[in-house]
Amino acid sequence: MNRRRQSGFTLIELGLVMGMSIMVASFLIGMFQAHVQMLNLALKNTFLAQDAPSIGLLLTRTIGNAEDYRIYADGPTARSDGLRALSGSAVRLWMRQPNSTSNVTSRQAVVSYETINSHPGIYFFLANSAGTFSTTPNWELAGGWLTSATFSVSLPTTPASQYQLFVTNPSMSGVLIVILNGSNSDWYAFSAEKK
Amino acid sequence: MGRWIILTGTDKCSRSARESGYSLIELTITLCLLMAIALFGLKTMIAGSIMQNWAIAQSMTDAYAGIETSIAQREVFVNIATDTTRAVYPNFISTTVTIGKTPFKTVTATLVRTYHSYTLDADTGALSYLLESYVVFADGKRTYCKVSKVYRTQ
Repeated sequence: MNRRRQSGFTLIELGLVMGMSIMVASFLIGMFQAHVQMLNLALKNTFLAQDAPSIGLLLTRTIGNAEDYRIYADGPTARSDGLRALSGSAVRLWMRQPNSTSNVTSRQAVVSYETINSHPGIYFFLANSAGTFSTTPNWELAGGWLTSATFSVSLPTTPASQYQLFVTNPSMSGVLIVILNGSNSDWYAFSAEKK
Repeated sequence: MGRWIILTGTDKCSRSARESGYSLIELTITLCLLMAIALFGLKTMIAGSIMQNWAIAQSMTDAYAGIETSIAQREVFVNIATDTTRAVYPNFISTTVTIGKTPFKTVTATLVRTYHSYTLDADTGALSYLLESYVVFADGKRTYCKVSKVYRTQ
């Protein structure tokens, strides 16, 4: 009996310890899965938590400096001052700027969501004093989670469910709304104009 | 040599300890410690996630209050009194609006619109309004309210 006690634990004791170990290990696995789930959740929210507010602030400041604006279907159309639209992915801005002879002139710029050199993103083009745009943007916000940006002054028709906020505001015509779409069907809307 | 060998074949006590399942107890203790650390980490991550959701909601409601400010500034002055989306204070019009969408759900808020109408100014005869919009967002037990006020005069 004494010899048996010295040689190790009984089968019941071993089974108990092993059972406890399995239980704790299964808890750990569950917790690890929860960790992974939380990380994915945080990652998916990155666009709305970080990217969208920063882009919104930048666009509001940029567009807020403009005296006037027009919307175009895309960047190239905006830079060539082509057909104007009520909703599109580019906006052309007219900004007042004093020149060397103290006369106030109009300087134009284009903010657009487009793909340049295989990099989709938001691009800013500033025209020279002659009103000509360069093919190279002045700055860009390429990459990230942003998949599209829509500038609109009236009720967008598609997708209706996404732009439900406009339905309740039929009197908002003339207000420049920017909608930023993320890669996880998420979106964020704001008013980008002088307040 | 004996200094470096902890468990030898001749050490009966150590041998007994080694072979009697102590390693299982040590393993259990280790797993328990790991679980405690993991629990702490999970709790921290949940707190971070709640903060992230809160920040998103604040950002969306701020943006919508900005839209309301723009709308109030743009509204045709003569139409303010007849605008069916507003009512003279203390009356108000309340609607549910979609202020954004997260990867998991559509975010809605309650929009409350009202306005104050001031009598004509004695000197100038100008009519003026104070347009107010309240964006009310409920997040679990907490309710947040963002206010937009625009003063319009003739």
